[in-house]
Amino acid sequence: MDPCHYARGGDLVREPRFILSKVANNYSYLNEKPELAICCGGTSGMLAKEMEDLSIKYARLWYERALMKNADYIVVPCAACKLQMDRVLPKLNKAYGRDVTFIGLMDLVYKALIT
Amino acid sequence: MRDLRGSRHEYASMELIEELHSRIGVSSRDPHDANYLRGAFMRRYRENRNLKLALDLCIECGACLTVCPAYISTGDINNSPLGRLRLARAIINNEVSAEILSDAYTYYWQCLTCRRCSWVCPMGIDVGDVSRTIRSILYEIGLAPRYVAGVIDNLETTGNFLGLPPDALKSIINNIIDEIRTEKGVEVKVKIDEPAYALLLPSACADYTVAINTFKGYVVLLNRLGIDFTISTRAPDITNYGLFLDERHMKLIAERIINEARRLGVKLVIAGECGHGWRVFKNYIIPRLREYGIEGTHILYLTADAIKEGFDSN
Repeated sequence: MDPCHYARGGDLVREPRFILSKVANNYSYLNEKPELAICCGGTSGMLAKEMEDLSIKYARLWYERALMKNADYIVVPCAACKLQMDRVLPKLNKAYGRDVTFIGLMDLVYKALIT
Repeated sequence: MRDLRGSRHEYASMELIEELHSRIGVSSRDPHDANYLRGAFMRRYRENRNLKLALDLCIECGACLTVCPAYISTGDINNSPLGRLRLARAIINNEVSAEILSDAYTYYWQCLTCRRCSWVCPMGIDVGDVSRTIRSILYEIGLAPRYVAGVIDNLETTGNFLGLPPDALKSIINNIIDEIRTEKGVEVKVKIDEPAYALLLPSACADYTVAINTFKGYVVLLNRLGIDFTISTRAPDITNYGLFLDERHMKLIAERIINEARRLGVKLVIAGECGHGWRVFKNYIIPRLREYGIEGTHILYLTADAIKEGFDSN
């Protein structure tokens, strides 16, 4: 998954994908075109408690796409994406009867590193 | 499912708004001064070329409606780039009624400012920028989300999203060092509030809480690369909610990081995994750091370079 602010104006798309290719064996891209990356629904203040229901509605867009790709993990190198997933994934998983979880990109680097 | 079209943020208290206003030299106003909104909007319309182009160039072709996540998921035209530009025109062209004011607060804060719309707009209009501009005016008249204002207050008083005191931050960092020792069998070095070659900026909202393993990734990578780095308890966070509310707060929060980088005498500041924080870092903080001979980069650039240079992760 390409965070909005990396993909549109952040010049930070190629490196995350390159790193992913080195630390994961079986992966696919949530967004074929990073410039059209889909937002997690948690940015711009949407993490407020009273906005949660609306942000879950926004989140269904990427969640359903992840289900179509049979993803177990969504890799998100962004803190807001992680907070959003932490609160919405349990609810979406329950509604759809699935078990998708999330992980940061540096988490995968950490796992891959043998020190 | 209940109707979410009117979903809106709860308002921050006037007490908090006045406190935030005082930090950026804004005098607080009557919270329902709709005429001020229009006057302020017209002023920005004249001064801000982006805003003027957005309102003058939109031909309502609807291309934005095919990609806006807010519109696709709700079907509410008011909650779309096209609807937000219509509302902006209504503010310019009419007396601002209480209803328009209320709609402005609701719909500019339902915008994710994700800028997906700007990539398909044939005119290249960035409606996220229009949303941010109008939010800033609404804030001037005292209307701002309690959540966003609270995060900004935390960032300006403690330097971090959660408002954690230095002792709590140190204990989280020490815990990370312990866990790395257990999981990887290595002793890592993490300086706290000490001068070093580099300042690491994690994202406090996640890296100190739900994403501890991301933090471990930074620490192990930097140790492996032999980069002498420090974490500041005064500026331990790249989060910058000023971007969402008002650029004057964005700068205030950013300057805290720049001051800390200078105080600790670092040569490099390294951004952690945070989308909007990176946007502020790349576009505002790095140019400011360079004025003092300090560079800025992202942990993912360092990681990618390390792999390319033959860094062996196995």
